Amino acid sequence: MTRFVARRLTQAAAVVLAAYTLTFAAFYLLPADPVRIMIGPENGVDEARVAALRAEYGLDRPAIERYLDGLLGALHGDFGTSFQTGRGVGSTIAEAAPRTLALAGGALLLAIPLGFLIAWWAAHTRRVWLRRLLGALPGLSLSVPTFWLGLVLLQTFSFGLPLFPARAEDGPAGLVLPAVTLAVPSSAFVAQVLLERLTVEMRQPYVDTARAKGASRARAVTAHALRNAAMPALTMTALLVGWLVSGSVVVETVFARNGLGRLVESAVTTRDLPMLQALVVVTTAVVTLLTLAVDLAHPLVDPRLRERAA
Amino acid sequence: MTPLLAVRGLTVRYGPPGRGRPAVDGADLTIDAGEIVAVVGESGSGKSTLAHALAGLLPATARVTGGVVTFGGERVDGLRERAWRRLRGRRIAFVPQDPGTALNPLMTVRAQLAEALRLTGTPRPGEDALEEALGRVGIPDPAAVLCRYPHQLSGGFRQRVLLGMALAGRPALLIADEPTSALDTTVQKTVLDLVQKVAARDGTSVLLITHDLGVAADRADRVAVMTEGRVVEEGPAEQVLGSPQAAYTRLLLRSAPQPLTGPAPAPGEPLLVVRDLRKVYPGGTVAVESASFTLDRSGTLGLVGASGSGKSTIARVVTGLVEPTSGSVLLDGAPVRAGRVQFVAQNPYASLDPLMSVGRIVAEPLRALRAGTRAERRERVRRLLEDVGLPPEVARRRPSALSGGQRQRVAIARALAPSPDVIVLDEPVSALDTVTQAQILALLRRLQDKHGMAYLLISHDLAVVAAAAGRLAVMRDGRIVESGPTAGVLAAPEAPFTRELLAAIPGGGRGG
Repeated sequence: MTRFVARRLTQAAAVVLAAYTLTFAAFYLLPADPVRIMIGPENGVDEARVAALRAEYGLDRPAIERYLDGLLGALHGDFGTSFQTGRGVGSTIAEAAPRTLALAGGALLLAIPLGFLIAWWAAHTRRVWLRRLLGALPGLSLSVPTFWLGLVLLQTFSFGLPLFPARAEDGPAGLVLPAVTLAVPSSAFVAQVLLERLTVEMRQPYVDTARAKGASRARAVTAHALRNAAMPALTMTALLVGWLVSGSVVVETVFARNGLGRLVESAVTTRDLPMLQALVVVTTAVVTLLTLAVDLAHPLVDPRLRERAA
Repeated sequence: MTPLLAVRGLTVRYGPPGRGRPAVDGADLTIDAGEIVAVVGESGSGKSTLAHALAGLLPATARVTGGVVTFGGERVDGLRERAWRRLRGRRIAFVPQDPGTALNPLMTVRAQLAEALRLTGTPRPGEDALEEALGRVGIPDPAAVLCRYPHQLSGGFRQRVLLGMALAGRPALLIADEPTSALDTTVQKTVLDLVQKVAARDGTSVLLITHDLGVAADRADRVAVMTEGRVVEEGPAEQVLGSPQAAYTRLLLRSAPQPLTGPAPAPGEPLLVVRDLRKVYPGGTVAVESASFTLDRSGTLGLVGASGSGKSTIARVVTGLVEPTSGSVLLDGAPVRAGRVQFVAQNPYASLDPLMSVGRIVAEPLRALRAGTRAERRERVRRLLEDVGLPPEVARRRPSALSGGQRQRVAIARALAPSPDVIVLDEPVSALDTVTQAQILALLRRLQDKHGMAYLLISHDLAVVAAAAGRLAVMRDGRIVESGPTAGVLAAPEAPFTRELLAAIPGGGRGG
């Protein structure tokens, strides 16, 4: 078991390192000059200014030196200085992260039960029309654009019925509408994966066995099929967290919240490469760690994996 | 006396009304208290749908569209789910087909058995109640088995646990849907013995669904033969199997594998010589331990053994799919060249690429060996399909459009393509129905007479080997324990294991 954990930890570290290396290569090793990219073609080219900026950001040093320095810094939580604000990238991210964390957490808190409920109900019902309707829900809610949903919710529940504030940086009331906006597509991911597995599991002979023992359909779904179907849905949830970061770009813009999503948006528009690189690495690290946690949880649920891991 | 279960004109349909033939089409069946009734039929005969309908376990896509079913004097067709739940487990128990998938893999035996006891009226089953339930189905060490997960048990033990769960509520009727078709012959015998014993002890009636006439003949008081959704013949076992009236019953009986007759084949010219073969898999599992045998030119050697005996490993080594750890495999005194030994796998549903056309599948060995031009290959495919009794237009179809028997014919045509010296047949008929099985065995004999290749026939079924192989080798735990001419070995088996295998063949007489 320890060897299994050690191997998975090494793999996770390798993934994060690869994310750092690939973004470094894409941003700094390609022929395009990061300083010119940052200034942008619209601002004319003042060679002296370019050279000054290059020196200021240390871009005149050899690439390998910058790579290793950056890596060493990143390991200590120092991701360098923003091209745009001149402030530390790490502290800017740390400042914005809690707001997005609250948003993503709230969205997941809504999405996971909702997704499970939809899938459970669709697997449980004997009414064909209801099962079809519930089965169509995930596809439908995924095809609704997040920005549109956010605007509709704002119109209805902030401006129409003043139940929730339209702009609220902090506080739980301001979190409701953005979290719901993000939860709708997230629950669709969970429900889709779970329902697909549940449909397969419900056809397994062990479900017949359970019902032959006298178990109700509800019990057969909950106590038997759901446990067998839950693992892929949990893996999906870990990947979902990565998706939530890009989802928050839209939602935070619509609801004017200053979180990681807004940070991504501004780093892209201002071509703030150190900020972008740090955001990519942090997101990768979070998703990798969550996936790892889910993978390590698999043997707890499935005894067959416990033996293989041992 | 009112029968325990009476089925009159039961009709079950899948899908929208009015489309296609019903899966069960006006079936009649009667089971008296304490009686064992076997329903015999091929896949698609509706026997499994009948079993599920009688347990109230039809899938949502199926509907009972006609007929009357009474159980214990009360009508149960058209019962609502709530009413069914009072019957299931307590009055009607059900054991599904494959013990490998019929237990929840994530729950211990204890949890699953306790659930069965709770649902059938023992609110808090204690340790002794659990152990007693397992003891009743002949599990020697119940305390240890209770802590196990299903994957830690053998197939036979899993089936016993399933049986123990089914009997937990002391039901009046036990419906067993092919309870042993996934088990080895010897294990099958123990499980069926147990069913019979428990039924006699508790006075439980048993509805035994099976494709195996021998099992029905051994175990049932009465036999019902089903085909195309109808019960075409029903009566006492001796009468139905001894003097069958329906044409279909006679066909089934004729198709049961018959031992080869005539003199034993004289030792021929050795073609494939396997010496001291040993195979150890990574992790230390010894699959084959010093196996030696000889396959004669144009001969058939049957390799028999239980699952896990190492016979499939031998098949894979001889085919060249797996490297032996030590020992030699020589064809005509030299290492086997590509294409000289071909392979037909057990499951024709899995061994054909579903995305390839049949023509491509059959031509694939030729393409791999770069034999002939495209036009020559197409012509060869046409002749091969003709050889295995398939019309040429099948070449354009995909495997999914073919029946199991047709698919196995395609797999045989593919193996024939490079004109091999040896074809390894790994359980070639065990996934097929009796009638289809007989047709495929006849086809294999005809092809051998025509082309003269040798067969290495791997099977767990001694009856199949006796029907097809002139010589026989019996494997157990990676070793060959007995070999010789088939008729001689069967007439006077020397190894105790061979005797055990022989005694376990269903149809040999009334078991118990």
